[in-house]
Amino acid sequence: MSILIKRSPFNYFVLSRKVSDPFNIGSIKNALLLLGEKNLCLSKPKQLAVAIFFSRMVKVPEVKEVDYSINDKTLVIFAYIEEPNWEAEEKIYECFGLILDLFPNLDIDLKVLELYGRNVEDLKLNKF
Amino acid sequence: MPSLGKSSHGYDDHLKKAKHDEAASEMLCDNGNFPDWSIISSFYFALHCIDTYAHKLGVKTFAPVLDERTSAHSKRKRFVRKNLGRLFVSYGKLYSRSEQCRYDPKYFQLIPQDLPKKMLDEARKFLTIC
Repeated sequence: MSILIKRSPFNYFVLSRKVSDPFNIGSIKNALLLLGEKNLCLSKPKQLAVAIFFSRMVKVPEVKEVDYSINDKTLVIFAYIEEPNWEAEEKIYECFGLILDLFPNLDIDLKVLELYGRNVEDLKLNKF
Repeated sequence: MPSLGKSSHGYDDHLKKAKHDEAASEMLCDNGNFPDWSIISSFYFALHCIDTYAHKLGVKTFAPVLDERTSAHSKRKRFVRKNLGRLFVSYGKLYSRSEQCRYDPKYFQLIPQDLPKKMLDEARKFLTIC
C-alpha cells in the first residue's frame, strides 16, 4: 500500500508508527502524548484532524492516497480509492465521523474519490 | 443543532422535491446513458429527505447565518452524524460521488454499470426518516 502525504505540517509517519491501534482513539491519544501533544485541543486542530485521519487510513489498504487542503475556513480531506468498495468506504466514513465528533467546531469536508487506474495527480486537476 | 433561519419552504416542499429527484434518478438509471446524473439525482433525493427530517425537528435551514464560517453542506453533514448516525455512511457515499460526477470530466465514462442502482438504493434508505 502506498499513502503519500504531499504537505506535512505534522510528522504523520512518526505518529503512525506510535499508534498501536489506529481504530482506537485511546491509542491515538497515547501516541500524541508520546509526541508531546498534551490533548486534542491543540492550537492547530485542522492539522491534528488530518493526522488522526492519516493514522487510521494507513490500515485501510484500499485507500491509495490521502491528501488535504486547508484554507482559512475549511479543511478538505481527500481519500483516493481505486473503485467502489463498500467495506473500505465504511471504514473511511466511520473515521471521518469520529473526527467530526472530536472537532465539533471545525468546518471539515471529506471527499472519497475513485481513480479507476488514473493517477491522483490527474484528479487533482479538477476543482473539487 | 444548526441555527434556525428564515425559510420560505417547508416539510411538504422538501418531500415533494425528494420524490421528484427519486423519480428522475430511477428514470436515468433505467435509461442507462446518464449514470452520472442518476447518481447526482440520488444525492439530492437523499438531501431533501434529510431536510424533510430536519423540518420535523424544527430545523428550518442549514444555510450559514451572518458571518458563520461553516458551510450548509458541513452543517447538514454534522446534522446527519448527530441525528441519523446509521445513515451517515450512506450520505457520505452519495455526497462524494455526486461531487465526482459533477467535477471529474472522465468519471461518467468509468462508472460501473451497477453503481447508479446501488446509489439509488442507498438514497432510498433516507425515505424511512420522512
